[in-house]
Amino acid sequence: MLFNSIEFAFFLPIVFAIYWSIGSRNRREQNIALLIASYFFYGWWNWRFLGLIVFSTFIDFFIGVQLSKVTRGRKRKMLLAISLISNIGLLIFFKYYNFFIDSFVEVFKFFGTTFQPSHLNIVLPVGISFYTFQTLSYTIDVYREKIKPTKDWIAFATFVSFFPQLVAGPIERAANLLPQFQKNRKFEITKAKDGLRQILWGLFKKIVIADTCAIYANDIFNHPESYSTLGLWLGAIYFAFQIYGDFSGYSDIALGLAKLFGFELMKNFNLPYFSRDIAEFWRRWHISLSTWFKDYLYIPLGGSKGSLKQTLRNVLVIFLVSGFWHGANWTFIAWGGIHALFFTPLLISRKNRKHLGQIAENSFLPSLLELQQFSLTFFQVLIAWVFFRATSISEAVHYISGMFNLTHLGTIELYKVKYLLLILFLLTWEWALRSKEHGLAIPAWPMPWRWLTYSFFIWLILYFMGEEQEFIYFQF
Amino acid sequence: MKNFILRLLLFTFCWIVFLTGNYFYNLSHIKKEKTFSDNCPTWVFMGDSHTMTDINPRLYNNAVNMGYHGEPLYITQLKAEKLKKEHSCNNLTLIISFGPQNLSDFNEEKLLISTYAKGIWDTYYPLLLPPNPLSKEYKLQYNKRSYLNSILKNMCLYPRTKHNKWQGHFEERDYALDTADLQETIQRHYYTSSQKVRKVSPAAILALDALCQNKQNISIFLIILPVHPAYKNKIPQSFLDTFKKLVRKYEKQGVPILNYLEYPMPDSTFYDYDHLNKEGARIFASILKADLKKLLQQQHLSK
Repeated sequence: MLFNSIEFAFFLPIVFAIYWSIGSRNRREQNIALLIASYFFYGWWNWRFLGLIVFSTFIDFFIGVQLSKVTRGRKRKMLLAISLISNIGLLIFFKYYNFFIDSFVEVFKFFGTTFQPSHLNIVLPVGISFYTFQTLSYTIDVYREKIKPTKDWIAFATFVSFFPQLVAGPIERAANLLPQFQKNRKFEITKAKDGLRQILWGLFKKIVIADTCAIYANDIFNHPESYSTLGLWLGAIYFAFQIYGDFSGYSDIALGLAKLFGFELMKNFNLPYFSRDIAEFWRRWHISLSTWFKDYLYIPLGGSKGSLKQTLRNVLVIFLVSGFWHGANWTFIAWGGIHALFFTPLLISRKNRKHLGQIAENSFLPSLLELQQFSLTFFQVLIAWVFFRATSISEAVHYISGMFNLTHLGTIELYKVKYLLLILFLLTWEWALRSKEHGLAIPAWPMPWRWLTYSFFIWLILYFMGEEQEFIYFQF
Repeated sequence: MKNFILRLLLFTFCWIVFLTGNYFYNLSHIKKEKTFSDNCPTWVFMGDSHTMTDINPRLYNNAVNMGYHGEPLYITQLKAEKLKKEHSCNNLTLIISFGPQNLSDFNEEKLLISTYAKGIWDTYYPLLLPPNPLSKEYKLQYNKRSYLNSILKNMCLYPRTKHNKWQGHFEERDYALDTADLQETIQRHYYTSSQKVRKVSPAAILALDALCQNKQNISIFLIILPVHPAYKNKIPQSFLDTFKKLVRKYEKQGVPILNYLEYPMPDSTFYDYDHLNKEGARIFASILKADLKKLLQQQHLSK
């Protein structure tokens, strides 16, 4: 079920009504209602894959309980290994099996041997990369004794399958979300209102920005040979905002929905296109994934504590793995590699933590230097996005060489540029409200202004609404 | 909670008032809007893109071309109905084009494939307001989501004073023959994605029958527009057979038919294999004009 579908428009009020009519003192019943709703939400797409979630939930719940009984020794390690193998094993089988087979075939071909293994017709279960990482983080944190394991199966199962963030994140940490399922939740009107505002903001980013930019981004990326240099740049810009609107829009809807049910999820995007360098970009883009990799991969590898060479190795590893997490294609690995490449100079010059503060903190407009920094970072991100969007490395290289072909500068039809105005509007709005939690966090505005603003965004959504489009990150 | 629900309901109510207000405002405009504001034309050409590009109405005395891209016959029939209802023109003659491509069930599928369906709803919504007459009169399945979406966008979001895209127009194409797309066009018109020959559309036959029965007593002519021999030779036999049967049937009913399917138009008059270019439209207009004149004289003599 998609957040931007008619089915969901019926599903949400029903679940909301049932959930709050149970009463905030009946926490367990509320959790059961949420669990059933979440399984129904997931099963709407393909009920057969519900088994996978239940399996993953059961393994990590069981291992968590066992870890609480075993205090030291090899048995703890073995329990952790079971969780890692079963979760990552599922992920590898469903997501990467055919990729590995294809890669082996290529390697054998390179050495002049033929190898013809059979491909499996595997359907990728929606959201597997997200909930697998979420359950893994629980087991690892229990193993590290950062959190205590839960003995409440319902709360744990609801934590794993919580429908607002089940299929595309944010990838929550047990330390943040699980305790929220273990305490009573009271309806708070301010929170619920803010939740609705954030849902509206997310729908705006998805329907008005992402789905609209997708029209030309898809056209240009599918037929790059028909476009001039300027056209290819336009395609890359449209894709950059398609993926931003799509994924950050989803995250906003998820956060807003969680608020409606009395939960707080972690912020997943923080104005990434206003980053002053690539390191800051990664502190602002898909925050739940980058912090996951930092906590469970980068730091265990040694983080930045070792020599520069080791730190560079660790950075390269997390970027490559992060790329690979996105999909079973060399283009994603190249995307990660390019980001690592852009990150390296910052690391060598020890400037990767230079921009930790607010942007344009004491002024309304950014300084010229900041503007220059935004542009340079956006340029780097844009080049990397071409690899992310292309279907093969050669296609990406061809596209990028076209972007720098100054002999075929060409012109762009005016109607294809018109959506840049929407992007400009988004950026201006985000900039003006950059200190707020999200683009419609305007509770202090007078009521008529607020209602007019909501109406304006609803009108835009209805005007630009077409066929419901799936969220890009569902495929990851 | 109560306060929250009340505010939400109040906000929703305001939106419902806004949307329905716009709907009724636009509906009143559609009802008021007359296709021909002052004087009635003598000739009205109707049909799909073939009519739209092949017949230049400026070369006739008092004619209007109402052809439009990919217009299925069931829509042409609704258009004709609307004209009949709204005007009491004495000398109005509807010249309706049809060809083998109009008989393909691809025209029915158009209502289900979202990109085509969106085009149809956004163009013809004044003829298709709820309850959608296509499901009632032709029992056609359609993409309900895109239909409602289009009605919402075109009728409910803002008040507008013009709703006349459905009327179609003449479009001049000043290009030389493009030889690239023949196979793709044939595939789209006559074959399913699995390369099977398509079925004949029951809705197209129903529409043609309804047009030819002509209960309102307006003169109806059928016209079959020229196509390039390369296109004609690729039309599946089943379509040509049905097409010929229909021509004979309507001739028997006394409907005047002007058949140019195999008329030898030179290559230079086509912009693709089934549409005429600007020059072709000019040449064809004079041929058609002369034939119409002859036909009218014959009709006059027989009376």
